[in-house]
Amino acid sequence: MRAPLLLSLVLCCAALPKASFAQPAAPAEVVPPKLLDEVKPAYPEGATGDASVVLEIVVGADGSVESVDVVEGTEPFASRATQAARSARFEPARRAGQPTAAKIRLLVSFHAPPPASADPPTAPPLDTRPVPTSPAPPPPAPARVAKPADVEEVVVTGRRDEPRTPTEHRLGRSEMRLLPGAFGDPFRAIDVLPGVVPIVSGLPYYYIRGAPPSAVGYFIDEVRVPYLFHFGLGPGVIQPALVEEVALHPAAYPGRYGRFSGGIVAGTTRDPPKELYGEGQIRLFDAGAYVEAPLANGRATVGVGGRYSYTAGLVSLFAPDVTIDYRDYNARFSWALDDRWRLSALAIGSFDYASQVEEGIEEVYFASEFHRLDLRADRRGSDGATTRIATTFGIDRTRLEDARFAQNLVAGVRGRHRWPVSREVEVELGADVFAERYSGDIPNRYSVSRRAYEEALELFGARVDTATGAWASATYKPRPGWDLTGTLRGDVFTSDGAAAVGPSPRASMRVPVTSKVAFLGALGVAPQPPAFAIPIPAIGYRRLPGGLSFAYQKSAGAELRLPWRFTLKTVGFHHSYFDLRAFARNRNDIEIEIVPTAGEPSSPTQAYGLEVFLMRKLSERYSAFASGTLSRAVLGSTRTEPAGVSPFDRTWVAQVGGVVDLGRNWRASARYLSYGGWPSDEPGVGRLPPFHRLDLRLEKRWIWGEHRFMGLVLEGLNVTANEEVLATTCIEGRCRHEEFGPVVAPSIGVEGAL
Amino acid sequence: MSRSTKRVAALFGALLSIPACVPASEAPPPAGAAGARLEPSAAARGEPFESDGWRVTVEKLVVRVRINAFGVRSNGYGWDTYIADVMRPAEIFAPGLRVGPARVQVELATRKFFREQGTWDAEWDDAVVLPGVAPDDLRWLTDPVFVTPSSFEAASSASVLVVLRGERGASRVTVRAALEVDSRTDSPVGSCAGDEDEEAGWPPGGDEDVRRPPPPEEDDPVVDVRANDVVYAPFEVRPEEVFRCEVGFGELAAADTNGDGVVDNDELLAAPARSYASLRQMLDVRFGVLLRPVKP
Repeated sequence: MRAPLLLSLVLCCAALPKASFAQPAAPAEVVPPKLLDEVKPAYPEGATGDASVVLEIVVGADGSVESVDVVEGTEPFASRATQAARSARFEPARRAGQPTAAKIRLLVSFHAPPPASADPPTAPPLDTRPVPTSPAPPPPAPARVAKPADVEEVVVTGRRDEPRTPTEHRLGRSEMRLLPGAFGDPFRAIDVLPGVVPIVSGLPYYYIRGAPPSAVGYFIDEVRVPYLFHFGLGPGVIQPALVEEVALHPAAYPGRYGRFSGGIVAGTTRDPPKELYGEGQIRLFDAGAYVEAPLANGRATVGVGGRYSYTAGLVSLFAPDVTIDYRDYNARFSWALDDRWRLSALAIGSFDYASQVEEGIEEVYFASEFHRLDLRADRRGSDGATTRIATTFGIDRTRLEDARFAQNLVAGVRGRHRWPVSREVEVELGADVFAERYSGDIPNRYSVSRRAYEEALELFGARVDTATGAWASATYKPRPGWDLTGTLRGDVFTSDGAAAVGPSPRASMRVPVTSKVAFLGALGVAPQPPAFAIPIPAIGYRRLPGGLSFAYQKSAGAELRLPWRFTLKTVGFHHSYFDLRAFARNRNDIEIEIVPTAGEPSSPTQAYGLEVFLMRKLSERYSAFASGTLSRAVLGSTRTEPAGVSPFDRTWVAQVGGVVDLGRNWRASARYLSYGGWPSDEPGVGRLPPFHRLDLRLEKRWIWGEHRFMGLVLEGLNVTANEEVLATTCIEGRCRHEEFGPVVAPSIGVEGAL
Repeated sequence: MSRSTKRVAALFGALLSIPACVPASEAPPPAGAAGARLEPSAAARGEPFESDGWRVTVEKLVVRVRINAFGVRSNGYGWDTYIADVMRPAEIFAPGLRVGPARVQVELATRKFFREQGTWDAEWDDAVVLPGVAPDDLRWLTDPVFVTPSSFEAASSASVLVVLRGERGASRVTVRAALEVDSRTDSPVGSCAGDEDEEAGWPPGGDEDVRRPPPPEEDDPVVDVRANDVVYAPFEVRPEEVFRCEVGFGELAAADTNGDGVVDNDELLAAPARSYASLRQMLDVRFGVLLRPVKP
């Protein structure tokens, strides 16, 4: 019989890296998280002696544990403490009475059981005594592991610079990594969310509420990323270690985001670490790593990372004439000037290349690269105000078939200021200006056909496009849980003499109806300049052909807090799109025409549906999620055009999955995805058959030290190798399915962290 | 600069050099264009000429032409389509030919309706409109001049708009015609000896692939294509040749059945003609001689 255990868990609150530019002198307004449930981790079997583990926990605004990192401690205690912390439940931290996410440190003490005791092992609850609240922002002193009796200040990490909207969906770092089929890519993980409808299984481009991929903007720290994945299907160009969370805003986006009609996917980088931190992955086709370390006594940090593929060497083994290559880099530098100001720089870039040698001449099929450098100055005031002034420089280059080369130089500035007017009202004002100078190879008028010449002029002709925007946003939170936000934004676009104005008013609300039910609503107008169905760096439409696209977004729903810490969010939506540019579908081919005529706007689209998202935090020991979308996208729905179903319309998407902590740092997850087929081109055939897919992920980690671990990840997308039907061909009354695939993506990877 | 700063700078530099650069375009093979310079004859410029005792003056002559060029050694092919007022000189060219000799053809080209696709030929509809062509003439060229009576299964638009004014004594007649002429510059169609040539079959159009270029002929003028340049072969526009043989202006004037002094397309279609269903069709054939290369 095992001896009783004596465990002591002490809630400690630690300063975080952000604290290094925080100000301790302000009056305290932050109430730290309060532990609600008693947690009793068992003393590990086979272990001996006393031990202490310090955990860094992010407690979400809803009180759930978003992530748990081991700051200090050894195995097997670290794992046991982590498991216990994941199941903990808190009353969320509050700033000025409003719930907000917070990062705290928790010390878990294990004491070896007395050998003579016959009582079952028990653990005392976490110490929930009140702790001093932090001023905002927190002090700059570097955090150290708290002693059991120490209580350090709370750092509220609710991404205060990243406003939340009531109808958004947000995935945290730990959740993104655990989703099977996402391969750890934060931006690929959004396909678990409702309203996100894949074009083809495995292809990370989505229709969101009926809007095509060209209408969805992807941002990292407010910097627009030209493309997110190598060759469209490959790994992401942003290192997962750099991303803290990803938010999907399907409607009424925060004011700082605009110029896209279909939705915004906004990634946020993690806070600069206070200690050396790094992660890496080695996979079959590539290897990547990101390392970041503090400098200058913690006032500065520098991080570098990237991915390098060895596909060129691998492919050359069996196809020596073919070259497929990709690589990317991410780098970040930050410097705290004083307690309020921080300067930082973020650099990201990517390169893709595919060619084949034919008759001794290397024919470049596709080559593309982009580079972005974002320089910012951030100020955090004593009253909670935040200011950012930033400038972005970039260069894009693309080489297409037929030796077409194009280049785009990007320069922009932006600024925003957000401050609390009162305890209930927060206001943000901002503006940004971006200029893009396009150039490319223009052939001699006499040496190519007229059509080729005109296309080259249209797509590669030298010009400067500008986009200028300004916004004002106010958020009113009269009581806890309430959120009433109104935004006015306007953008002016110019391109080679053409100009257009895009007004973008937005409103959203979250109104608690009961203690566990809240009403959600969003209204918005979202303009967008013409864009290719899939973004191609350095190539864009000239002179705003067809004018701006517009989306009129309306959605309403409810958020319910369910037992066992499940959250259910259900939203009904009706979006109207005018003059969007989408793919063309020609039987089993998906056409992306890169010709000027493709800039002609498509028919109006009405998209409506119902989204349901049920989830328990994936960082829990046992967690599950389910999402469903019932929707319909109708084209040409005006009085003068006949209505028809969009060729990419899927009436339903459903998925269910779960994550299980198997113990001993084994973690397994699975996801089952199913969606309805497109409408068939053939009359009388109806809809194509639905598609089903099963993704699996198994992870084993070996943890030592504070953040250090080594992990082996086995992951597979579509492990049952299901084929997808993309078209039906009928000849003389006999119809046959045109199947695609199976697209199966197995992955064996080794990842580790310092 | 401290040692650590230098290290950081070196590290950044090394990382930034990891991504290779997208290669610039290679220089394409030298290519150029073969052109045709359309020179109006005196009659085409509006000077009167005689036909059947009538003093005929060209008041409008707008054509839709297609230029085809064939590389003699390279087997290359270039083409383009133009709409031009040929009462003034016009230059047209076919781009995208390898450097070297190339044969040049110019043909009057109608716009065809594709029965299978149910659409008009978009490429030919995308003709270059040269300066001097009035918007009304463009609309006139776009309208179908031939439609099968039963349905819209076959149709084509005009390739020649012509307005001729004839005077004989006190008689004055104006002929306004939109003609459906598909011709090769050196085709026998429309020559004095070839009126019954089978190429002038009825109805025109049909299932033929109008985008298929005619084969090059030995008689086609040859130009020496230069890189990034255009070299023109001279062609003459000769409306007076239309009336040189069996058809005279008197027949056209006689088609003015309502006596209003204007002969329009409907009256030309209603008027019978030798070997043809109508006078309009006869003109369709005769106008095949409008363009001719200038022999050196």
